[in-house]
Amino acid sequence: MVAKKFKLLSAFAAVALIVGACGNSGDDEGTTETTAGGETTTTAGGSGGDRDTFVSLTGVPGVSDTEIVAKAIGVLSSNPLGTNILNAYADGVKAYFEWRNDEGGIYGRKLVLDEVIDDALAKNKDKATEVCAGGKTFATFVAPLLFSGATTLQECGMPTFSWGIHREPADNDYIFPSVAVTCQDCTSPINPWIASKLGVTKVASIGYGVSENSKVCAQLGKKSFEQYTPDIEVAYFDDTLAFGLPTGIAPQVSKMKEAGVELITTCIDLNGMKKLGEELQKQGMDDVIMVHPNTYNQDFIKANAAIFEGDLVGVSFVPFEAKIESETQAKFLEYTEKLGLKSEELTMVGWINADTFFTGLLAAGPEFSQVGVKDALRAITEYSAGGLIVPINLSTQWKLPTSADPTTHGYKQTCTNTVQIVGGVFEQWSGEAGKPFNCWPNPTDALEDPVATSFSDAG
Amino acid sequence: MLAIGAVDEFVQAVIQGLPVGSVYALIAIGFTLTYKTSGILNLAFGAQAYVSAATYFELHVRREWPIWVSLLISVGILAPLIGVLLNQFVFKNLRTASPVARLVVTAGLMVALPEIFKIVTDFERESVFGAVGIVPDGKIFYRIFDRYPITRDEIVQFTVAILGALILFALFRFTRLGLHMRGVVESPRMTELRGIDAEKVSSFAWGLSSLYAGLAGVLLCSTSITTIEPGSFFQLVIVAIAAAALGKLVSLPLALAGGFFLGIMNTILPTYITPTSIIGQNLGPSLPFVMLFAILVFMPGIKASKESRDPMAAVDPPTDTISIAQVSPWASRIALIPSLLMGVGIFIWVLTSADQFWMLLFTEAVIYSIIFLAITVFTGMGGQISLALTSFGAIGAFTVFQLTKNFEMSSLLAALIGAALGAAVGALLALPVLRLGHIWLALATLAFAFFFDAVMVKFPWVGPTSMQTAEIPRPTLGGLDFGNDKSFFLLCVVLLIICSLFVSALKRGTTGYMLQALRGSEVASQSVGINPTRWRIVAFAASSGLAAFGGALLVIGQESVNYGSNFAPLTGLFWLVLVITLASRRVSGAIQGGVVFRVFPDLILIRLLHLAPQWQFALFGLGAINFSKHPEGLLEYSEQKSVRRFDRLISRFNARKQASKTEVPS
Repeated sequence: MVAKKFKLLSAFAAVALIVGACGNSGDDEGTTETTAGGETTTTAGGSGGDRDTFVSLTGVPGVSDTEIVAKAIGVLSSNPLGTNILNAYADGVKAYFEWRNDEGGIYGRKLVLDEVIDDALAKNKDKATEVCAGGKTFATFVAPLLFSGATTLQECGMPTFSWGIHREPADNDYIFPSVAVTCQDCTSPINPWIASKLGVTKVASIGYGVSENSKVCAQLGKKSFEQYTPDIEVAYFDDTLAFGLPTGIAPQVSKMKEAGVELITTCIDLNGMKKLGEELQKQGMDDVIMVHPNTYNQDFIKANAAIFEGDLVGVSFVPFEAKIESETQAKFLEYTEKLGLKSEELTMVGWINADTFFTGLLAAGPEFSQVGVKDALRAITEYSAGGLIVPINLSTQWKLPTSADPTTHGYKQTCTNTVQIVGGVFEQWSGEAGKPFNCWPNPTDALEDPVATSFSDAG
Repeated sequence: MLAIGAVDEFVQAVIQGLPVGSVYALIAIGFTLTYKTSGILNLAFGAQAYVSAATYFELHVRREWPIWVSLLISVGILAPLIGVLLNQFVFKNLRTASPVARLVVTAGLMVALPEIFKIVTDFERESVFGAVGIVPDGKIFYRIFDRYPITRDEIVQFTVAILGALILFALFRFTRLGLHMRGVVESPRMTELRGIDAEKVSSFAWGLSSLYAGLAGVLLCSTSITTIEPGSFFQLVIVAIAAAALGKLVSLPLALAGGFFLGIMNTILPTYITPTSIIGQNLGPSLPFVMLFAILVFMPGIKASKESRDPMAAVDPPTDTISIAQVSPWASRIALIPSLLMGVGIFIWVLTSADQFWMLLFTEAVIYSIIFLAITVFTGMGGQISLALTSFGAIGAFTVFQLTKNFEMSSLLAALIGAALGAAVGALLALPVLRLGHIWLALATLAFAFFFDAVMVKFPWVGPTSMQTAEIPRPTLGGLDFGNDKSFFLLCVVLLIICSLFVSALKRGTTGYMLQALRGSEVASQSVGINPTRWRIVAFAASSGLAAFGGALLVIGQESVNYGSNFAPLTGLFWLVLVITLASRRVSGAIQGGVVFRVFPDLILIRLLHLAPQWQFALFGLGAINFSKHPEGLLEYSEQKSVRRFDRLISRFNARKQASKTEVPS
């Protein structure tokens, strides 16, 4: 117990130190601070410092005296999910560039996203190779469903900023996902905490059989309940479902009903969630709450309001519905509105990726290069995109953490940002006003009350 | 009490299976209707359903047009129109075509139709969720026996399936039109002799079956398919084929019953079997494919149900193909010189000047050529179709992954072992399926591919788990290191030459002659002592081994397994359509196929014409339509045409020379 308390205190101390270290960061100025240990925390600020310094560079791919050129690659056609991925993502990057360019750009140059490339689901590697071979691109933004081009981008030394749903960024230090690569065999206190907060005693954990990720996620979901809340019974478990539930899920829901399930944690896509929700309604289980991992989509929720009423959705960043003290968030809302863009999950992911890129440029200094940006980012120990995401230690979190060692390459804290669906819209559910995250120190052996947290003061 | 509970559970499972069953029944009936009225196993059924469903979605959901207007346009007008146009421009020419040709053309349409639709309507411009049915408030449900819920959408779907089957059954059984439709399939010439306009009847039949596809598509979106995407429709069609196969593709009542049986089995299984059990883990996700495979392999009479033979087929003989024998062999060889020169030129350019991107494309073009040689062997030489090529490619890939990861084996040696394993699995699979032949064989291999995808891939002893990096090292051989792209390209070229020589030897050897004989006439071949099973197993094993070897090289080149990008089951269908459309009978056809598959889209479509990626699928698919006119393949056709022209020139030159010689003495 003392040890646990010590860990908790250490974590708080660490957070306090970070907050303290970033205390000097102004809203309008990008700063890079180096600690005695050589570690740095950096925020991407507005104009100021040496951001306006122009140094003519030669031999840096995609960099001219007036522009820094980036490209976006992702899935547009042949997308089996039917959601808007690449266009929304690229919109986020463009909006961010617009903001920074309105401020005067960086190092006397404008940020340009000159091409948005459709990888047609299966050609991510081709497109990555083409971008690398072209030699006219400084950085790449990627939002694929199949990230087969990861190794290529790594090997060609291309700073790459990606949608954080893949495992491929692990071991590739040129790739910076919007969420750090996460442990594939670690349990998590998040769903057990949600269940205990709701006061339920019987839960279900389900996933697709055809997808290894979904299957493992469902299995870990079950293990998490067994570890953190042994008094809550996993009354139904199924990791064999067919992708998209083309044949429905009626017998499985009947089993859940029979078992008295009150909460369902899932590892399935938003279309599968819709089918599950419809079946729950049919079988008179409207009051059963579903925990969605992938349904932060305003249009989708609005279209299916009745099905999802009261459900909880995990979001990997501060949702649009939660306001925090963050210039990055304020500017996101301002620029998406200014450019007439829809605020979608992928728009925010693109925005966060663009912020990471800008942070790297800023940290690399006016004589920046691709390797320089990579190295500068990899020296940053706390990066939170202006408080939009849980801080990532970019210097260590590019390798896969394991259950045996969850800390060396893992998050300092396990956090959740959860919204609830009420009347077809999202409402912040986790944390408290201005502090949307609920966090536990990592690792957490037993379920304790989380701490409402905001990272808007972090890097 | 226990008995009541058990009965209740069973009744519940059956009732829950009815909506799913009506989905399968709906498609199976439509599929049977098409086969019955055209004699064509229409793989494009799902594509036709997609087009109507997407149009309905565009009009009703996105543009908020009234339900009846959207339904009238998408199902009442567009769907039959597509059917009539397809008949007029495509299927009309297929009446006397071989089963392979028919299958290839429909597979081409399956690929092309959705892509053309997407290009024309810019359908993927935004998210495509929120599909609704054809009745208002379709999700409102009623309870059967005050207990079992069923929604309005499901009731509509169920009713349409039953009514549709009854109407179609009555049409064929009791009306002259139904008889004419069947007659036109059997022999259009003979029906014309009775004064029946075969063209009109055929157009009506295609319009009707297409209308049914459209109706099925729109109805499916309200219940089974949550995202309007062609792959989902095709997958449901594959499942429903199992139901249609129960009626041997011609019996509407059996297709209906098969659909409901399959649907009910889908709910019975999870009701009585724990998902964590071995059966639950493996049979659950693959039930339709296992059933399709089982029906094809074990159902008596399937192999005996040959395609109908038109007694007057000779009136419309198959399209004349240009025979290689028509031209002198040396003319053929001379005509090859430009291709050879181009090949050498490309080879030198790749080695000296190509950047990383073009190096990747050409290296993979070489590797795909090896994979496509599998098509040369089994389809080109054997005249049969396997739709499980991607599974065999994956077997090679996974073998390399496992052996390099666990035993630190050289990836090249692992690739050879992968090829051997692929051949062995191929031989095993061949035992039950090869006797089926033609479309049934194609369907059985397709079922195997989907089974492999749904069940096998996720085993940790097969594919990489989420805990493993899927990295694969490049090979070394003695002191030679093939780590860099250039040396690996060279290695692949050498391996392609070896594989090509192997296939050529196979073609010119006993196997080739035996297969040629079997292709000509199986009965005649058997009468002279040729054992069809033995030689087809040899061909299937060789073909599977080549695909596995190519798959292994592909992932070695990419240094990662990338199963989803490389080996999804539908990709194999695309490979097959491409190679058969170009030239499946010759080794050079496979090589040209590899180049066209990997280089053409980027070089011509994207770089030169600045077209979207969808155009690749649309054009390749449309290319397949030409296959009915040129079964020897488009490239072989044009090449042979040039050879013939060249031969004619030479003959004319010789004739003149001869004439001038004879003139001198006079």
